[in-house]
Amino acid sequence: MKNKRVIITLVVLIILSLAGSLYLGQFPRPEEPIKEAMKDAVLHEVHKVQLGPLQVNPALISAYIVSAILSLLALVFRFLIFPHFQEVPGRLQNLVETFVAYFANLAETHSPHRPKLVGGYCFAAGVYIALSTLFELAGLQIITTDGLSLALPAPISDINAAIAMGFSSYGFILLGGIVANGARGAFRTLKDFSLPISMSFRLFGALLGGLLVNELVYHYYLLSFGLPVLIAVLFTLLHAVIQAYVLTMLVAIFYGESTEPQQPNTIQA
Amino acid sequence: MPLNINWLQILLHLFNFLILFLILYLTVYEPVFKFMQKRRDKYQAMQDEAAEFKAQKAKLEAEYAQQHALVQAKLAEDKAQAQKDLEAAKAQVLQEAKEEAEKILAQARKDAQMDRDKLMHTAQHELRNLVVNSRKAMASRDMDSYEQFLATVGIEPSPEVADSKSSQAKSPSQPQADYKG
Repeated sequence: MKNKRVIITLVVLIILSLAGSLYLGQFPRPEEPIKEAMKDAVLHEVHKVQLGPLQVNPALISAYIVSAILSLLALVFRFLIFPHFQEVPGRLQNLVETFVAYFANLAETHSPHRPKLVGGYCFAAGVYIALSTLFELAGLQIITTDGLSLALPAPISDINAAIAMGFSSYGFILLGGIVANGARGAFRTLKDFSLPISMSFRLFGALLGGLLVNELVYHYYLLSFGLPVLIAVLFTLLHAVIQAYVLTMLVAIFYGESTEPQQPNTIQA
Repeated sequence: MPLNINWLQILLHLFNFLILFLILYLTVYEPVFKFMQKRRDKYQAMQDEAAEFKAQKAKLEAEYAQQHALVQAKLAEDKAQAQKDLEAAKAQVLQEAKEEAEKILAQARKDAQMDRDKLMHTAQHELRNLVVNSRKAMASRDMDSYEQFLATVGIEPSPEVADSKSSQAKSPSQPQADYKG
């Protein structure tokens, strides 16, 4: 009985939404050409958001919102949930422990000499990439400097955020190598000088692909019914998991390589 | 910059992520990691302790089995020795008893012989005395006295004696003493 009521409500809402879209579609509106929309989705050159004295890309606002939400959740967890952790875990504790154990094992496997810090970094990077990718599904609106309403994109779909993630990861690996092995560790990291660029553009390209498909679908309002559910699952949920996995895996592998202790030279007879 | 790359925004993104990393590391990852590690160490210690107890138990069991075998061997040896001692003691006791019995028997035989000899001697002596007394009596009395004597000692005169008496009554001759003892 309850399920039946929920289904009827959903059907009514979908019909109303479709009718509203068809009705609004009759009126002429300042149509942004698809070429412009795609270019702006890639480069974020046109639509800016005011942040204090600065005009920034909307993705930076997305990044701050995601970070604020994650920080708030982390503080709530630390002071309200973690003190009640039991030796035999409940559901929530089990979920958190599973995430932490996954990244701890990843670090232990690929970087066995200094696993603790890189495990924490991978945890933070993985959670940030995954949740910031999923953030675009929320569809939060923001007003741009030219007065348009814009759905906040995923932070990593901005090239600046992707570069920041790539260089941050590379800097972390470089610092780890220097701390563990000094100049030799730095050399080991510096010989992979293409790593930050490859990391950045892999992340950016993967996220951008999903974003462009979503932009394309949402550009034509008649495609905005039903199809976005499939698109969101294919290009957002999977990207969130896959990109978090790829970047954390790469960081763990390269960190393990740069912090690996020097093998003593063997004298051959 | 090409591709709308903006260094200021890159730095803003970078600081944003580094701050987030610190917050997530200090408030979530490290406490949970330490909690899990502490729990793992605790169960590892319990497992190690159990393994140690198991090894100790196996060692004690081996020692016990060894000692048990030693005790069994010692017991068997002692039992065999005791049996041997018992057999020896038994044989000795039997030998002593046999010797004692032979000694007693010899003594008894000796005593019996002595008693017999003594009795014989006494009997002979008494008989001799009796004969002597009889002779004396015969010498002093007549032949009736002999009969009286026989009557005294409870012996009836034999038919030959009676015949000789009757013949003696016809022709007196030397009296003949005859008795059965």
